Amino acid sequence: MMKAFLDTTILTTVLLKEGRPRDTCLIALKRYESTEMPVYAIKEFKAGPLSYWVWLHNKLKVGHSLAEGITAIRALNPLQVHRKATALEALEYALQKQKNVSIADWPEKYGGDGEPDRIMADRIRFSMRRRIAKAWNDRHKIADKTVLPLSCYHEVSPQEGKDGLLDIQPIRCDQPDCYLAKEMKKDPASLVKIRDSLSKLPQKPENVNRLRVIKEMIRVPKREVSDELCRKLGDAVFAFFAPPDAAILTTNAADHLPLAEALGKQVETP
Amino acid sequence: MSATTKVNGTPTLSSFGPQITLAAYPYPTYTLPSEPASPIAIRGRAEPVSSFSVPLAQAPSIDDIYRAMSVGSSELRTAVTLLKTALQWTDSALASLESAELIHADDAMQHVRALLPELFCCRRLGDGFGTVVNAAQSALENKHGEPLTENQIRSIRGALKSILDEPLIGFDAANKQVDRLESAGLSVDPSVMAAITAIG
Repeated sequence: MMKAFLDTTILTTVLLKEGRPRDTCLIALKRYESTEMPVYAIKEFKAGPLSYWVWLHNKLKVGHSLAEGITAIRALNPLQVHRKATALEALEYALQKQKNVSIADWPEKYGGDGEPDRIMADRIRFSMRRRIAKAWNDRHKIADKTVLPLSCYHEVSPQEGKDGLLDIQPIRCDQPDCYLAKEMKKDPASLVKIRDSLSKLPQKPENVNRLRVIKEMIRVPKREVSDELCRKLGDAVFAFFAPPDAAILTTNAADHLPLAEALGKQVETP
Repeated sequence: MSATTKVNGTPTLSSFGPQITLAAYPYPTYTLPSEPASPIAIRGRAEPVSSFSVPLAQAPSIDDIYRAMSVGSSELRTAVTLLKTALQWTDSALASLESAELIHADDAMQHVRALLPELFCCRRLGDGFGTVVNAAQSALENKHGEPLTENQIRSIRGALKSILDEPLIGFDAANKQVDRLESAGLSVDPSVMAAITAIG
């Protein structure tokens, strides 16, 4: 395929990650003559990965403590267990290392700002803040073209409040009925193919939720699809709207493949 | 304690150790030594600066003014002292490179690296200030002992000079300085950020 239709994982990897995964994605993007990305990917990116970054940034800002940040990640962050363990280990190591760098009289001289825990929290926070800002500013630069604008969703940049916290709202659409769902309901035959494919997939929560929404759209097409339901459509949106001459480019081929194949479309990985 | 006064129509913070004059851009009223100081001459810390002026790229907000007041003189004075010392070391490194004294150049940059952790303790001056210091510190750490190129030393110097000229630098302006470090091939995040990227 000479054209790529980028999903949210590509956007996230290029904008927030570093090292080999990011490099691989950047090289992959050069394989194609043209690349497109739907605004829906930006919406998913902001409500998902970017919001986790903002959450941790704010946690570090309020708590002034990497140790507290580590506790929060352990308790709340929706990571797979092994990935979370690796991340936590690295953060704990960084905290230990900072304790060796700090000088004993800094806390006396600089107050809390001289404490190793706060120093490490702020170093990470500054880097996170910069990357959050850059990620948002660069979101339209990953693909040649951003397509499928959503009349129900406004791309509002994260804002810094007077308290120094970042505010990522809005992350939802502001209309009661999803624009994309309306378009999808115009092609019930494709919806049926997606439904049939979903019904054969493992009973993961996202598959179950997606199937429920698609079934509802087929059964009662006049019923409004709220923002909450629209977000559950997820991968089905990419399968449905990918142009026939484009491959869906994703790092998560396993989830995309069955839906794309049901509609005769291709999936490629970086 | 008086909050602000006006001098020739320009608001001026007074009653603090290092006086911040909210002067028009672009001229700082202090100067760095024009010649690189020898390592021996700058091995001890420079004396605290009693009075200096800081140009701001744009009119400061009331938040900037209150922040400067609340930070008071101590962080600002320490930051200026450390920055001036760091700049002298970078100049020394550049001079050494020019005369092909690679070991001296690298040694001078080790002195810069040693100053940055304490400089980061002055980050109450603002997120912009902290962002630049963090990036410079990370850039030096991430070299893992490899000497910096002349271009990289110049970019570090430029970043540090920018916060000496404007300690209350805004976040966007700070980001531009960090972009320059990146353009010089420096890695500007603490190495632990690799772990953070896993959370997304």
